[in-house]
Amino acid sequence: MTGDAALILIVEDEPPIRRLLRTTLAAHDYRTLEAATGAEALSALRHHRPDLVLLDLGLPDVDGLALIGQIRAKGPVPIVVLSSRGDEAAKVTALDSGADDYVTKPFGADELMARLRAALRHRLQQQGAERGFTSDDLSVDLVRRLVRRGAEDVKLSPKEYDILEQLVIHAGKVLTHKHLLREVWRDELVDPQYLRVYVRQLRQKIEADPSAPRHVLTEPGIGYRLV
Amino acid sequence: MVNYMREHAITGPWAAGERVIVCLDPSPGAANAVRAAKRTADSLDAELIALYVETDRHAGLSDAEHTCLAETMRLATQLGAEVATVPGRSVVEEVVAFARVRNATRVVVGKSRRSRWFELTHGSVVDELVRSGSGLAVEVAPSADGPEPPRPVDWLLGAPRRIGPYLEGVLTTAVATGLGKLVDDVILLPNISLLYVVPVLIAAARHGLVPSLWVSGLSVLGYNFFFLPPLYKFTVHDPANIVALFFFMFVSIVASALAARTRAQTEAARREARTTADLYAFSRKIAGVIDLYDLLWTVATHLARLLNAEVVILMPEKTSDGNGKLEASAAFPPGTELSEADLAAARWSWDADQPTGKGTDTLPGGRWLFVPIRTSRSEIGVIGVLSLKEGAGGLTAAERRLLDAVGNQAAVAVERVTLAADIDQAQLGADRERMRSAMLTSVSHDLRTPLASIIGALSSLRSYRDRYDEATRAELLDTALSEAERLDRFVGNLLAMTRLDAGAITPKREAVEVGDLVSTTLRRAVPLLEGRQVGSSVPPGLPSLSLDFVLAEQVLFNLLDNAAKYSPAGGRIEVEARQAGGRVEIVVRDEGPGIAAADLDRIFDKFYRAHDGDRRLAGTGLGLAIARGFVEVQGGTIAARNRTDRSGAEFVVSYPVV
Repeated sequence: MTGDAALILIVEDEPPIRRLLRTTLAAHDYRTLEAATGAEALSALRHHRPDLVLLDLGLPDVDGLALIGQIRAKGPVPIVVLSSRGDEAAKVTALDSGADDYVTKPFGADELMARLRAALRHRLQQQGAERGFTSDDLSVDLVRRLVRRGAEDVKLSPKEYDILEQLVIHAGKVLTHKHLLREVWRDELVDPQYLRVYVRQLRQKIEADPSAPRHVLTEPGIGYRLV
Repeated sequence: MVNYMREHAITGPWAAGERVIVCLDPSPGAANAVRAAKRTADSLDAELIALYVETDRHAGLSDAEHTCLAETMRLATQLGAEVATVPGRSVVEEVVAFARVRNATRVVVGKSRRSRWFELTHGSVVDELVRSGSGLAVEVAPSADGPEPPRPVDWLLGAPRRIGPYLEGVLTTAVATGLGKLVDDVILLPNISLLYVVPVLIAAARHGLVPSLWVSGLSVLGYNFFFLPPLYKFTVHDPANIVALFFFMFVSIVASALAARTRAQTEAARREARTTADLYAFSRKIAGVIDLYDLLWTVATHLARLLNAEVVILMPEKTSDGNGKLEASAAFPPGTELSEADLAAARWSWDADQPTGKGTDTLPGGRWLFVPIRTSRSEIGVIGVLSLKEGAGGLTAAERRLLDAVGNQAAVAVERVTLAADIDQAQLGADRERMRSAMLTSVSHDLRTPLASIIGALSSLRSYRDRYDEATRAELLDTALSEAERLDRFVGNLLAMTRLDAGAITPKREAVEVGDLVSTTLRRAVPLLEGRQVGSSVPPGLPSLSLDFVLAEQVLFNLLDNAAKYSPAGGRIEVEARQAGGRVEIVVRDEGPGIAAADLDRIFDKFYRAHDGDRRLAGTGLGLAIARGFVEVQGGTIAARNRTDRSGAEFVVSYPVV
């Protein structure tokens, strides 16, 4: 982690969840700010410039999706959304309107921390801190455009590489179909079927067992995530 | 009791005071007899049977008499009597025989208002019944007040008004004359008058009594003029010829009457057959209808066609107290509307339970005729008919009878449909009740069990944390966590089931790679599958499917959850995908005990849980029901069976390749 602890704004109306988040985050050396309503959230955002916003979509006073737009309008602070399972449409809308990732309630602490780290890392990446992805059997160097599985170099087609590049830039974060189509094809209206075909080919090349992928994961109804 | 009598060979009638027969006849007095019989039956607490003996006379009944008979029968039905018709030659014989069969002890007969002369020649039913020695008590009901309505002169009314039949008569008579002249020239025929009988019979058979009388007259004149000396004069000299002429006239009139009557009976029989065919077609048509509005619509269209009329069926609104206002429920042509005045007439007809409007005694000025329809058990509604025929005549008597008959059938059919709906409703209520109690059991069990574990584990950790070693603490925490996750799955399942029940699930289809689906699901199911061996095989090159990824993933997840639940520790769970014709099958196999034959059919039912002795397995009874629901909204099928290679269950999900 970086030297000074990141400041995280918790926007959540349920006190027990707020308390849980506060203690969990404190245990991982984050500083926290709390807001129970959308209005409080906007005010805290103005006064404290948090490093990340953890936003519950079900707020009493405003529509969580609308709030994402308002926060985004003020600056590029990463937003991680808390939402319920079964509401994939809301998740996709949240992601497409500027949220960086989501965590499904009820969530485990491990998952929450992984999402927060990924979102904060993205902020650093944008500042040029990291240009690659490394795991035990896969490494991607975006500067030199090198992809290796184990010790072997992997040859990717331009589209496959573009997809992987997006996944690496946003490593750990979910990317919606729309996001990938926009960034890779420069056209959100392309048939997502193409995306699936290329993802399958990409898995064939970079996954040890393409039938049980470990890196390029499908998020049902939403998109893909690189871990 | 009838059984008892049969067993003991008692031929009866046995004076047990159980049944009263009322004899129906086509006179207006019969209604009185029915009412009197009803009073008698009520005082004896006996069943009432209205019996009509269809003798030879039946075919010769006038329209008015038919109507009268139909109305009497309707009245009897309304009063709760069973109406029976038996064919026979003698009213008395049939009544006695019927009474014996049905073990009736009492017969009510209307007082005859026939003339004394008629009774002397034809015999009196009352007298014969009393004399028959049948052991029946005979009761004579007083006749209605007022004089017998004059019998319309049928044969005059029935005469054709067109000139054709009469001209035809002139022609046939002329032909007979010419023929007679021809024959007369060749041979000497003494009975040339017989030739003239031919045109008379032709006229009678083809056109009825009046034309045949007309031809008789012509024939008498022609015979006289052309054949009786002095020829070509209307005078007759020979007294023998006068007698011959007189007999010819007599014969031709009698022949006319007989032939005309035969013709009338044939006509009546043909009409009857057509009516019967109509009613039969109608009853067949409505027999299969189970929806009330379909039924009313069928009745309305059928009646409209039969009667060439606009038809409206009115039924009381459904209210809690059953006293709803009468409202139009079906109409043909559709959109036919009643004016306020017509509606008032219909309501009057309903309230008074009497036909109202055109052609009746009440409000005859209206354009519509309203006839209440009812069964012996309940009042159904009112049928309104607006005849579209030319002229102001309204319905004929035959059409009225047809309307009554169709109305009766419709009433019975409506009652049948309503009762069927009531039974369905009751059945539905019982099902819902059973479902609710199963759900309450499930919810209280499946919510409380994990909560008990969670609360127990956490409270014990808080109070005795220091007394436990690290391993125990970890175990307690794991228990709390896995039970909380189970609770989460249960609540998720409840929500999914509610959405399925509400029909609120619309699959968001996308192209889904089967391999992607299987691996994604297996990844989410990792915590469930702990302690089991998991294998999956998805051949490369399977076509992609058009599915809702989230729903399809939940299906597979629930099947894995189920397999894990019934698998022994260390047991192997396999997921296999394969192509089968135009479909892709995804099979989930476990090595558990398999499914009892009795459970195979019900395993996908909501809140159904296979029982394994007394052991209750931790499950919601919802997982498989949701799996089936989700598979079906995506156009797939799901089946459960036992493995043939070893013990264990096998679930097969099959999706079409689009």
